[in-house]
Amino acid sequence: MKRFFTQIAIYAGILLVLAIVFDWMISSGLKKTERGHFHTMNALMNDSINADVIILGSSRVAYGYDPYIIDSVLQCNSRNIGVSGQPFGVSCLRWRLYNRHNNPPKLIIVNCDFLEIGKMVENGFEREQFYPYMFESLVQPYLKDYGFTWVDKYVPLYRYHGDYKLMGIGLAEFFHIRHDHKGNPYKGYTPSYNEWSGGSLEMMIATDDLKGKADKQVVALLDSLVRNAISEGSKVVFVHAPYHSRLRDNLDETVTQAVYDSLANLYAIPYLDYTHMEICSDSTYFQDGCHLNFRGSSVFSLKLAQDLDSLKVIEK
Amino acid sequence: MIFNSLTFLLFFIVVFLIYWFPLKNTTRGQNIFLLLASYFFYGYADWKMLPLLIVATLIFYYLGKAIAGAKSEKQGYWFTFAGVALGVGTLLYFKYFNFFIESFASLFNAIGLHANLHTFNIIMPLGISFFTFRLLSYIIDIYRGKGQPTDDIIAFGTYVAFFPCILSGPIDRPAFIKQLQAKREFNYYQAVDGCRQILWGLFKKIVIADNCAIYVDNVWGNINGQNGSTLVIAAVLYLFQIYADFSGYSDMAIGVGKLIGFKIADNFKFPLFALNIADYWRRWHITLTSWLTDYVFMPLNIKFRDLGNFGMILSIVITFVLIGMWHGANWTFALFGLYHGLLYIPLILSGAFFKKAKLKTNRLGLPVAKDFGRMVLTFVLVVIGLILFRADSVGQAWEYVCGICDTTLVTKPSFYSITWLIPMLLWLPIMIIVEWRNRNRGHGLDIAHIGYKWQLIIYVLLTIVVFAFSATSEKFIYFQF
Repeated sequence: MKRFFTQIAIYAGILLVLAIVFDWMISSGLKKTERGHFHTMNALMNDSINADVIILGSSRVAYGYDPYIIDSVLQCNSRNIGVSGQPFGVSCLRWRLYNRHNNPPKLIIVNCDFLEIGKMVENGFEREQFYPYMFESLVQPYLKDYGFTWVDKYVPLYRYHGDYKLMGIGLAEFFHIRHDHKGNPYKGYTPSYNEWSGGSLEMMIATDDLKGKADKQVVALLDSLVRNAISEGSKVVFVHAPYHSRLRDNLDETVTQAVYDSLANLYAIPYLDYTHMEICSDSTYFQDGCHLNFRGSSVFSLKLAQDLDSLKVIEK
Repeated sequence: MIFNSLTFLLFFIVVFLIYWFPLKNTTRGQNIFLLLASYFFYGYADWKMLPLLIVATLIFYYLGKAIAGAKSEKQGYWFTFAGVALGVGTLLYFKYFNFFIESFASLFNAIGLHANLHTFNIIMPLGISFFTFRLLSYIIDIYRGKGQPTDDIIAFGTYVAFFPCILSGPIDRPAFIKQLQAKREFNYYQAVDGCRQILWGLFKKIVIADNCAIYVDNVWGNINGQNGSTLVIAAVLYLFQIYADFSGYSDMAIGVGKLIGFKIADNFKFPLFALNIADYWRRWHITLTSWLTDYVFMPLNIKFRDLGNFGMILSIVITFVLIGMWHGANWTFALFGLYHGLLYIPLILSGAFFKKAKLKTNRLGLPVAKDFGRMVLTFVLVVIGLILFRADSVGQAWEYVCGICDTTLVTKPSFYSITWLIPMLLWLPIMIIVEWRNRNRGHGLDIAHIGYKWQLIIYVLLTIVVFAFSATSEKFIYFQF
């Protein structure tokens, strides 16, 4: 029995050492990659972005707000930190990460819609972006909502299991074999060239609950963000990006709209509503009911930038 | 809890430590503990059916005593009959009741009679096919005089509910009870071999089987949208999937058994290298095939012995239809069994059935051309049969076959993403090569004969492969049976 346990200990010991070493190498490598959603996360954690304008919200921000157009109209440096798959809570995390490493921006654009301030649910969407940052203090409160458990956090390398591609990317970056730009968004903006998908919209209308919900915790986060931003000298603007009219006409945004209106009144925040733009009834500007495509985001971003310019929310 | 989970790992560590330390010197204590652990294991998976398992165990325990103590041959026969009827009846109810109702309804409708038959929401207890067969072989062997009833109800209960095997086999025979009654000493070599076998089983299950499943499920989810070549690849990969899944599970079960001092029956002997269909079934799900051979085929063969080859063919076809139906309540399984039964006909008529197929290799260690051809032919025949096995209905199987027999057979197949393809291109050939090299050993990773340092390197590398290339954990296919 003693011999057996000795052999098991040797085997487990070798694996543990390898796991610790590889975890460190892969995580270090992934902190350098500019691939996909790592691009924004790493920029927030590592770099000094120091943008004039920060745009935060969901995938509707990531796909819909073009910093290139905003920069050219407002003569500024804007950054899109939109995050797919989660309501506002994780957007708030991104804001906090930005805020910790960077100077307060002149303007924060907060995207509003019927899903943004809903309850955070565990769905694990794009959870890889947190793999290198499991012990980051600001990140930790959000880990549970992404489906992470104590095993993912404390067992070295465990969270990477099955993802040989990601491990390979991390190692390639660590050893400077290859620097990955794949899917690199421009300043956080991910233009979509996808064709209109009417089927998913109809399914959404048929099956999903299209009533906007406001979770108290998430609303409190939004309130706190706005308050702190204003106290640090930043201006805040609420923007309601376009939906396709077929979706818009089936939505019930009573609850969520009331929250945004209340906050806008409380903090004297301009509220810009683009849900009735002309492009809303033209599916050639959308990839699906919720998300603009490249063509749509160009039109919307230009209109938004022009409106912000006329409001003089930011000095050129 | 499935073997490839942290929950099972924690469970087994606790079982192992308690079993070999405080209970080391008491066989009865170990058996009681194993019984409780097995009930916990089963209850964790399906607590609502735990009473059924316990009640069935008690009934058959006392039935065994009643058969042995029967005052006459006739009484013994009726006790046995009652036990078999109860066991088979329970199985029929849980597995096949709705199937028969629906089949009768379809039949009545087809002949113009409207039948108002209702199905029930029957939940099939996990592992029922496996533990029922254990119970049946116990009483049948007693009736036949091949075994004695045990007075040790704990050992008997543990035999029925033994946690490594209860959910998906192997189906051990009552002789296993002797192992439970004997004192067990920790054997270092057996334990290390058990660990090797578990590791190999993990590799097959979560690297090979689960990655194959990604592609296979995608294809089967949209048969109409696939070209012929894609359907062929999916059909071939399904054989690898089901082999790796089930043999991987069996390897893990046997490995776990070795760690607690038991020798569990082998369930697979490298069936991918079978030379004909009879050889295949001597290597595939061995415990099921041998069970049905002993309790169905042999009695039928004796009954039909006056019919010569036709009698043998009839016995085999009936046995294989039952093998098919054992897998589930669907006509596809019955046809699967029938298909395999019919494949025996040429072997019986040529006399090859009665000879054990012997593989010849050349000086490179590879099969000679003739035997390689036989292997490929057997492989193709099995792949065709598995189309029926995988399909949800006979119609879907036909749709699949028609899709293959299409001009698109000679077009480029779809591979969807490379995420699953790379593990397949890398590790599937490795699995085949390793199993070929060790085909005369106990299992694929039976490498006790090589140097210690190389063994350690192989274990570490294999663990890394299992860790890095595991697909999303799919349930074991044979849990549904």
